[in-house]
Amino acid sequence: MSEKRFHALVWLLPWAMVTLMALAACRQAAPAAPAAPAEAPAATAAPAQPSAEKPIIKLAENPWTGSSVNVYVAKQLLEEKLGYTVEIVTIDENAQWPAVAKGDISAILEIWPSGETHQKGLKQYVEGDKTVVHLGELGVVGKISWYVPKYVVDAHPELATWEGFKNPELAKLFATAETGDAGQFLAGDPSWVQYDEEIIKNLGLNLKVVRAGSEQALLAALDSAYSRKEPILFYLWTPHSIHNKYELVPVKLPEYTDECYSEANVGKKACDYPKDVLFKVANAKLKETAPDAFQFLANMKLTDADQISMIADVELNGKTPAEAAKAWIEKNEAVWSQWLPK
Amino acid sequence: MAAPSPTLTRPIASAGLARAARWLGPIGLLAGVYIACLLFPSLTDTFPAQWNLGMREAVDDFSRWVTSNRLSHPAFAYFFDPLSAALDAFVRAVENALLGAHWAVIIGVTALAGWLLGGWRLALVGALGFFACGLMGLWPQTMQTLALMNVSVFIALLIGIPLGVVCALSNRFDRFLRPILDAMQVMPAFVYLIPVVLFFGVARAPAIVATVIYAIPPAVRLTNLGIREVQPAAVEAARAFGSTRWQILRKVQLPLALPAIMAGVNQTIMMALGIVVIAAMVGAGGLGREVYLALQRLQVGRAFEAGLAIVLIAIILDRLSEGLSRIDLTQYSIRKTQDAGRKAQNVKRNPASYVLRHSSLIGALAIILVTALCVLAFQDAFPDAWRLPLREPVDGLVRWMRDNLFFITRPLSDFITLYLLNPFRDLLRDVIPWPVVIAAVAVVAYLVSGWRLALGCALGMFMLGLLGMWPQSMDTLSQVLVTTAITVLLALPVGILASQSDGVRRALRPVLDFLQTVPTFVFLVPVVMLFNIGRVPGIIASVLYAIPVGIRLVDLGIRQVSPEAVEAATAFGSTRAQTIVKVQLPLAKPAIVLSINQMIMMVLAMVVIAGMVGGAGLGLEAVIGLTRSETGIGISAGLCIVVLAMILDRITQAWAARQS
Repeated sequence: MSEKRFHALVWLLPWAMVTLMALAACRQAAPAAPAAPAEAPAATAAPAQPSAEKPIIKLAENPWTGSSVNVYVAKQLLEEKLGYTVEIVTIDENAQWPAVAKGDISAILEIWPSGETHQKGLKQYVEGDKTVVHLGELGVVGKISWYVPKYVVDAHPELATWEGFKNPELAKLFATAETGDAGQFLAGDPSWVQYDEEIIKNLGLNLKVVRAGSEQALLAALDSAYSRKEPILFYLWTPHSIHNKYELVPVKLPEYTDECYSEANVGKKACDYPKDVLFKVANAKLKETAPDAFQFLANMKLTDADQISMIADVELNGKTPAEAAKAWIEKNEAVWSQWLPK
Repeated sequence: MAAPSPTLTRPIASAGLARAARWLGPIGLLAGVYIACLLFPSLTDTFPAQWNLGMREAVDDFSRWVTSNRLSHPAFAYFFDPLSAALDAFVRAVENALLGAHWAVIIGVTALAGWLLGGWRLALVGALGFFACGLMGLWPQTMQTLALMNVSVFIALLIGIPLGVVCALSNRFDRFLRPILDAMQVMPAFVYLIPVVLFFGVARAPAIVATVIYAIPPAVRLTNLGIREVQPAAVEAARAFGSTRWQILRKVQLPLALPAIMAGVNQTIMMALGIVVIAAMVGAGGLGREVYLALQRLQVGRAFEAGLAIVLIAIILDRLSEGLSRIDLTQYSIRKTQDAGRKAQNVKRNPASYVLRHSSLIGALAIILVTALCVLAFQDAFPDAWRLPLREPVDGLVRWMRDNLFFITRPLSDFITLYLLNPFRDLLRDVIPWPVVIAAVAVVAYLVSGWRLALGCALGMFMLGLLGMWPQSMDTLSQVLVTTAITVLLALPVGILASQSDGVRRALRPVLDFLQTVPTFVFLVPVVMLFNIGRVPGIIASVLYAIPVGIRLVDLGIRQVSPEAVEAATAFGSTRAQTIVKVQLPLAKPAIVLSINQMIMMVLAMVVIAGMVGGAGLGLEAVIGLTRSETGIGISAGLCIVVLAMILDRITQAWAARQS
């Protein structure tokens, strides 16, 4: 670093910045500034100005496609039909509860009751201090199951039901270095309710649970095994975008019953998972600050088919979630017009 | 020479005896503990659950208290809420400035800073780096992340440098702060993510807080170190001239410590960039969000692009801050006086040299001119038509590796699991009773240092049990040791090679930069595809993360061996291989041991990532803490990681100290 350069630096940097900014500002003032890129920095990008007394609605987007398309449907309708400004906050589903309770997030549109965090959230914020209100069901119904790729069932039809895994020979097809002689059952994201160890033990299956530690890892393992047509048994649910990519078959477990999941039956579960009726919640104050938006979000309801069509649009047709939502809105005015507050 | 007199043999014999005693004592202790364990199997087979400290419950109670009092308690209304609002506004302002500015202005200013700080190469790195981010279609995200980084680093320095000064001036404060800094650096950010959200809400504010927590330690440490290493003579001289303490600090110590402080700034920037993806989990947006969303959809290519953009930001900021640290302010003021003198003498100047002398000014004007032209010619937003998508080739490469390398990686993975990890884990966790493990660690600590360290390490190990995480800790310990061994085995030869050849070193630099700064999340999907879920993919990811530091430190250590020693060896006719083995390696041993220490720390920093790909142990517990909002479990697991890190750190530090 020569002293000359340092000298120049001291004088030039600020001046250069000022002139260039001024130049840019002038240029911007002259022609109409181009709109921000479509879906670009969606994470609460342009800090919107509150328009005409209407509060900014902040919707939580979780990192799966279903959540994204719901949020974009709500965002586009709230902005176009009700004149709100909507910010999307991309956030981990487990970090969102304290935020919606405080009002940093106005509403969450897709919550899976099987998430452990969500059970706690309901108890603490909805029933407890009432800082969050239940906005009703989303309309989409999810279901956790044990899955195997279709080629596994094609080769060994017995593996379509749990009884097939009683056979140590067949279970051993799923063995890995981590499980030794037992077959591997790949459990996913630790945030989910998982009774697999219990179910395996009570059904007397020759399987050992390996915890993948994250959904990404589980999906990567599935991708790898699928590419080689290797047997793999894992925990997954529907609707999930991965079903668009691979042919997966749920393993039939003993029918779900209420008794099986009753509190008295702790440790003795030996049946299938219950259905997941997805629901929505909002910050309790939203009802006063934005009554029509609150009403709209409470009315909002999608069917499984609606959501799956949008997910497919993103996963198979390469659209962005915003584009998929727009296309759905154009085709389904009869559906969403019902959501608008009267 | 005369036969040794009896008086001389006696001390030798007793020295031998002392050495034997030094070994016999520990062995006796281990045997004693083992026999005691055999006598009380019920207490020693597994760590007694009733001794649990109840830390988990206490933390959970506290977080329940926070959630139920957050809307009413004055601490939130008058402290945390305004603070997070201010942080949020600060970042938004910077973000708006960066996003609102014409893209060419950002590139131009970076190039200008690069030109002035380091010449045309740095200017080119700055300009091309940001341009590449734009080409990948990530311009707005890059600006968002840049804004978050700038604000976090600014705040981290604002807090860290003064703290470092206080540490340098007060030994007591230094001793008090050191373990806290250790904990801040090693505690996985996953663990405090939920508490940070509880206190600071979502999006920008909690992201800043988490980043600052993680990035402060190097700023404090290097400021402290820099001031402490100022020549006492300089301070004495200033004192003799009657300077006050404040004057000494401001005029002598701080300027002389500037290079170290700037190194701290550089490290702070690097640390802050390491947390971009985790910050995205609480809504920070930017490049981290891209990585986070892409991973959930297995879009490795998309995650790679965003990861590469993070690497580019890191390289640009690293080189710029390196350039900044080369400014020697004291030199500058001396030259300025000389210049004034020359001017006073009115030396006649040659017009040709005018261009040369003002080359930096001319170059700067050229950069400004080009930028101005770009501003006039192009739109504000980075042109959509300019795209250089890397995602397809990367996805193709990953698919190719999945299809074609598996026949090597599967057996390798199985071998590591069955023959390294399993026996070692079973030994630590199931076979040896826990008191013997503790005693063994204490013995190692005693042998490398002394009874103080032995006692500290034994207490630390005991703590793991008290926190209710003994089996998980042993699982993690076995993985950390195996991973470190693999890393050392790979880093040593490469580091030696790099130390012998400048060409190898230059070729390695971008690769090492990439590995060190690319978010490790980007590796997760490919390593699972290649190595199956379990402990091995985590190990591979950790090796990739820890190896750059290892290679660099080994290289540096060997290069710092005095050239006289090497020349002497060459003069005596030793071959290159002999010089390396007989001279350079032994003399570089302290540096190499220190590099092992750093590699262990890096591996420990990856424990949570390993937990996300099936690594079990403490990593999985930390992930559970985050994903189930069980802060108590998360904090306990995080503390165990910190304790393990401190034990391994102190032992290897003491070992390194013994070498020199």
